[in-house]
Amino acid sequence: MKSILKLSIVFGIAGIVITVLSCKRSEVDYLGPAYVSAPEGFAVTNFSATSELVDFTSDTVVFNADFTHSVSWILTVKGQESGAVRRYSGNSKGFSNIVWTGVHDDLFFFRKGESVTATLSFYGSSYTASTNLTIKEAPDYTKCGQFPREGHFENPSLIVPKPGPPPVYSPYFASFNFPNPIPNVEQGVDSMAIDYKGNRVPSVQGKNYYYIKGKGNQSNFVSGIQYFGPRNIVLPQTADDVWVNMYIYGTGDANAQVELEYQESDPGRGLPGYQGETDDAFVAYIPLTHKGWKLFSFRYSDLTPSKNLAFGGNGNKIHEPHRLVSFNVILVKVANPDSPVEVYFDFPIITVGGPFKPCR
Amino acid sequence: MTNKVTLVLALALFSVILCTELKAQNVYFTGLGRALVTNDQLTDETDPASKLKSSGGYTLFDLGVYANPNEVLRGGVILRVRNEFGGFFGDGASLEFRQMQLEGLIAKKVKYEIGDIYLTHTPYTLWNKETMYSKYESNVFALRRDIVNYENFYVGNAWRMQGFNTKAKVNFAKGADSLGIRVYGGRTMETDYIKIPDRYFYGGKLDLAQSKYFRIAGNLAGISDIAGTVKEAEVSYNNLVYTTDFTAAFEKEDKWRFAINGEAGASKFELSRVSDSINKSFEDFFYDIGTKATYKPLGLNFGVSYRNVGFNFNSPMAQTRRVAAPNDITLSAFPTMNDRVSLRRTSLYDFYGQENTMYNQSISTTLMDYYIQYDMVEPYGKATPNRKGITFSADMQEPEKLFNAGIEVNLLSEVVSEGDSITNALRNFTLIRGGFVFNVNQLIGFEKLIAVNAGIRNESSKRGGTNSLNLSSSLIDLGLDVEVIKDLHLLGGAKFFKVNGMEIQTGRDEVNQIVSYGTGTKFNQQQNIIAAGLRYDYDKAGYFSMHYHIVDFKDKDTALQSYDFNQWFFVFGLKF
Repeated sequence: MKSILKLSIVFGIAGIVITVLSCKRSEVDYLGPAYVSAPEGFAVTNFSATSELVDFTSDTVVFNADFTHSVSWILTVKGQESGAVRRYSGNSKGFSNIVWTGVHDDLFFFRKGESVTATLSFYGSSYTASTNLTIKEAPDYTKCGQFPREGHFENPSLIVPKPGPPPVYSPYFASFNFPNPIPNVEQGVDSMAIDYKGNRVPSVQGKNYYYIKGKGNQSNFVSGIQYFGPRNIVLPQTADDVWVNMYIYGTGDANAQVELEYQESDPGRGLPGYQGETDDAFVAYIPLTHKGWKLFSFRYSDLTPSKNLAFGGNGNKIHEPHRLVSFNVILVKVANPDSPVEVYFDFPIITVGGPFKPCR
Repeated sequence: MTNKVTLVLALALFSVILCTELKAQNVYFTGLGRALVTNDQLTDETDPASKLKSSGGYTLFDLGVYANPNEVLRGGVILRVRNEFGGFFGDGASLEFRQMQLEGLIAKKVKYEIGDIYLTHTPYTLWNKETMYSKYESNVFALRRDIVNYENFYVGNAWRMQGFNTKAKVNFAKGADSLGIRVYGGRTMETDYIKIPDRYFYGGKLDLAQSKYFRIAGNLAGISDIAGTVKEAEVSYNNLVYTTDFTAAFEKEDKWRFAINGEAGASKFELSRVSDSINKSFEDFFYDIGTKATYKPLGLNFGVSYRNVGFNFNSPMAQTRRVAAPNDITLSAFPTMNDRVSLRRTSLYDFYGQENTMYNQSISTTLMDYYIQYDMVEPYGKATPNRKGITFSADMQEPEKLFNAGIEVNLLSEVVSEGDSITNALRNFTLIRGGFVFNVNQLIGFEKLIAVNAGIRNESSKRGGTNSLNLSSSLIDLGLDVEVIKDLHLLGGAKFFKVNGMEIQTGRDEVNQIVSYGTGTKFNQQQNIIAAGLRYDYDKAGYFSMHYHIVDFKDKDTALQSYDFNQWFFVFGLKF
């Protein structure tokens, strides 16, 4: 019995040693990026920006700095209203000619008219240096793709229907009868909305965004908005090359879902323009289970044909982005019709060759 | 009148028939009820003239309905009805399924569970690490922590998951005692049918017990995306951890037992992403080997072990943190200070007092952010990557229940330098924790409980070299539990926490590689919490308890961050 025990121990330990020795571990001296912390007596001797007022539609800002020692540094440019951030970092005794085109990291865009603070900070030190400037005009990213008119929602009068010239967008109405709103639905343009969880919804681009709120006690369909502005979107015929993009704010509510419906005018099928009974609508279904803003991008060829025969489900079922004429954003409830749901969205843009990225 | 009498009789008859029928079908019920009320006050320097006050609470009842149609099958569901404090005629009330589970035996050999199940494996494969250090805290805090753990589905070191768990044991006549086999699995993430694929977890164990002196097991734990559940997945993720653990022991004169034990293994994970053509794969290993000596007459244990966990060792089910990432936490009691703008800093009170949004219930495939001041040495448990070093431990369970105590000393360091690219200096970590419970009534021969307890945890993280760092913290727990008359306990407790120094937090990408370092965070904080109250036990069926908690949070370096938080707390609990 004792010999079996000894043999088992030897085999067990040998097994573990073999397991460990057979495993790989890459040989490195340090992990992550290299950095050097600021020593005692460290100081910034020069930190400047080439302009205090910048028009990013035609100009850029250049940052320069000199330090007493060679250290690791971070330059953080932050918008005071938008919270947008652009970061640069390096290891050196200073830098010259860091060109900032107004582009942002993360989600939030820099805004027209806002003050911006550029702050130099250093690893392992609370020492900072900063300089301020103002954005006269923000970069124009509408040219990074095909941008539906007024998709930044900065001109509410062109979004909300009113007597006079037709708007570019139209909300859904009860039984399609303007101006009767759908009961228990609130929708429109806002910049300071409070979501159902009590959080203020910040603007992701510009100052405004569009919102739809279903207040509960209604069917699974809540409401929507249709873009029927200029139908001159120029896109290639190859659906694999086209991407539809939109910033959408969610509250983590599994009961809320948005359907982005892209509508084509198929040739030889009924009247010109998109007709729900005869043309294609291709849809992206987005559960709003995320929290905060998120950029959603879908390859056009991945959009699924509408299942609703009366509204886009009866076309030729061929993805033809060059025939795209309008799109809808529709808010629905997944399961519980009595529970309030909401969605906020901004900056719909259609790009070619990949998802939307700030292109300056 | 006749109609009412008829209705009452009909209902009574229906109830009798129903109960008889349920009993015949082996249906039984369990229940947990709780009514809880708090009254809070916040004082701070942001607006000295203002003193925020609030009150809240709820009533809830969890009704468990279980059916045993036969001796090898059981199904159960727990339904929850909850009504917020101030809800009127059901306004604010909610009804939800808290748990659904089926379990049974196949051929009287294989035990299985399906549905909402609690899973744990080894500290390096599947493990839910406890928060902070609460082993020797006062019962006045433990009562609150138990509620938080129940609300967040924490039972020991198990994760509550949806899936299945099967196990079987084969006994042998000679050569070896038994062979245990275990297989589990389930889904950690649901597809959105667009870009996010179904993500499954799975694992298993083959455990050979040669005798009571030797056992060895092979373990497997993995997480994989299922190809084809969406047309074009945003990412494809696969992770596999495989380990061996063993115990070899011998005894001497029925008094001493000596054991060698350990676990060793490796991980491999891969992630590919279409949008930017990323295709990454990482492998690494760990080992944790130790010895333990036990002196049985006094219940005394001594242990020493050495571990080395690679910087790319990736085991999501063991490394996921119980506390949510700081950016995902919203404090429920006074999220902002009296100026209604400044955010209140998270204190030790919030860890034992806040039931919702403080804790995490899902497995994270990336190393989660954490409060470095509260958990600097082992933020991801024993499986924390990039750690090596020695652990000494000693504990004692006095057989007469007079005294129990324990202490553990961890002297660790990094395997590879994080953040010193010039001298490659390593951080050195020290974690010392221990405490005792002393049942004074056993000493003086008093039949009602008089218990004193104390605990301490000291942590430090230090590095020399070019980019020197030094952060240390200490947590002291004191507690008193006196049964003044039968079933009525006087409870007292205190927590004293201090953290001082500077550390740098790391930013990681989706494959857990360090991509950035923060500029460093300085701490100079002190927290004192004192609580006192009563608890009356209704045998084992329920209790009523009321406490007063005084929280003093001081930030000595940052202006306007200090605050005083006081709370009255009342709870009635019921369980059957």
